[in-house]
Amino acid sequence: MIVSAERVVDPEEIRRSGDRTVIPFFAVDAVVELPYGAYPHECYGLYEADFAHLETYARRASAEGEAWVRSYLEEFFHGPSSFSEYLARFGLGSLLETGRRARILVGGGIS
Amino acid sequence: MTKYTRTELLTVSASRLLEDGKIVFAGVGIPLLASILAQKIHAPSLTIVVEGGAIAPEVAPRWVPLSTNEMRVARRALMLPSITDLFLYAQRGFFDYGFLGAAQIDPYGNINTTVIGSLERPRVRLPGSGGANDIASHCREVIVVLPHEPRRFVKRVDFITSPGYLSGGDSRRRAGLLFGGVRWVLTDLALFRADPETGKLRLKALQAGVRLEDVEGCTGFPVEVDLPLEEILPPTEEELRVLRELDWNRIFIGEAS
Repeated sequence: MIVSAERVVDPEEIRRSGDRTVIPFFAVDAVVELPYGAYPHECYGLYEADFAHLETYARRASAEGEAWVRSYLEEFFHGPSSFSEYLARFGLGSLLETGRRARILVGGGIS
Repeated sequence: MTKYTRTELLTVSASRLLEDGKIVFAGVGIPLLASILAQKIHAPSLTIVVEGGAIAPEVAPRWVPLSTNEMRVARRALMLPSITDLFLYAQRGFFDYGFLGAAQIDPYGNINTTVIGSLERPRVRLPGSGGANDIASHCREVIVVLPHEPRRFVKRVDFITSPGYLSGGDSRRRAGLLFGGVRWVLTDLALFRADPETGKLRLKALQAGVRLEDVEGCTGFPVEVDLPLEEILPPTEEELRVLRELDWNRIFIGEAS
């Protein structure tokens, strides 16, 4: 099992609230520190899902079928040579905006 | 030489069987004390897992847990899963060592903690399995610790609560248990190791000052011996000091004689 983590914390922080741990360390082969690793989906409190992107995917995959899905995979999966390049294809604006929305959502900024 | 109780001897010799970096499934009493002692003496990266649902707790000296389900065994744990999840991890083969006691044990390491006499007409009712059967079935190396008495080391146990190698050979595997099994049987007189081929216990070492005849006299079946027999060194001052600091009011290790 490879864990993709938004942030690697000190074991001390894990020991403070062991009741919140969901995967025991002995089940894990490797940990990768990868911010925005769930993008274009979400990580609670850090970034919301990129709904506009998901919406476009659903609409075009359904309307244009396999050929379009292949081009999508080429652009977002096979094409990028690194994870940063992958994220860049979504655009900095989307990353900032989904992060901002997550902070509003969990930070009590909604009345 | 410092004097020590039988439980101190068992705890110290059990702790020496635990290698650094491994994961031990430990119950309260000798198993937990032996595991903490190992961490402090030679195995700082040994991970302790406790049945009630604690992974890698840091037990505080003088706060030795009295039960597997209490705050002292949860202290600073890395994870507090449910008991069901914990046994699931055992089934998946994550645990290197399991510790068990036994009222009776046979030459194939089968353990009885259920009944003495027949199940229908018991002479003595024992506590039963608890988590012991799961530990015996799923931990990769099971260590059985018990006092060495003829009534405990029997040709045939009255009831198999927790499987060793059943009737030997590949019978354990045929019963569906694909890994794990009894590796060591440790007593106040000796250390047996289970032969991986036959599943039979073979005498591997004697406690300090014990003779082969003493072991044979206290074992209710013929003792098979691995020559040359090794001798287990008596507990060191350091081991006893750490152990007594842990169980400072001697709840488990017994009164000093």
